[in-house]
Amino acid sequence: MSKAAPRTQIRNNIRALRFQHGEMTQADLAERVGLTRQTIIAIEQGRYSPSLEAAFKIAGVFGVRLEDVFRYD
Amino acid sequence: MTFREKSIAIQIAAILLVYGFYGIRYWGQPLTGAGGAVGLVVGITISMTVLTVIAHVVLAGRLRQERLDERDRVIRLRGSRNAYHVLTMTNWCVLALILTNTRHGLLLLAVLGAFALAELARLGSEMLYYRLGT
Repeated sequence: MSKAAPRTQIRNNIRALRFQHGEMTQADLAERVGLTRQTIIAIEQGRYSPSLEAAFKIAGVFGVRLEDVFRYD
Repeated sequence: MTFREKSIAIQIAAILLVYGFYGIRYWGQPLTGAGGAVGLVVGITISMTVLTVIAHVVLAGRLRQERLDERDRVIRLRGSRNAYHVLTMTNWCVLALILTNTRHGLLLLAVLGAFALAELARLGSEMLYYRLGT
């Protein structure tokens, strides 16, 4: 997977959280939040800022607060 | 590249091929009557349809298409917005051609060219948004 430079100012810990949750795959996370795997990849790489609804769903999957997943730099 | 990116690439290639071919073939011709203008428009429509359908059938056999999600919808909206600006600008150019009494054949090519440029702007910007981010 190529490491593209982030284009948004929203940073996230999704990659770390996935590995802390039984090495959850991007496809698994995508399925659980109703997005495509490509979109999860784009969010992780900072190439796309998800909607508030999607952000809450992602945090919900990991069982943490929104600010534990996303932060604004 | 994902299914959607390849689909966009196919459409860009089809536009360049078909519009390029017909643009060169009909350049400088009077394009009057059913055999000229209608033949050009029908030819472009059929060629574009056949090319893109065949290419997408082949593509669908090789790659699984994912459903649309919020990112796809955002990218489509932004692509359409960019295409609107291009279409507006090119329409002003066509209007200028009309006001300068440009002959019928060239006007038709200009209108078709405007559509082609707007579509290229839409597809090109969608591709960039997919590759580089929104």
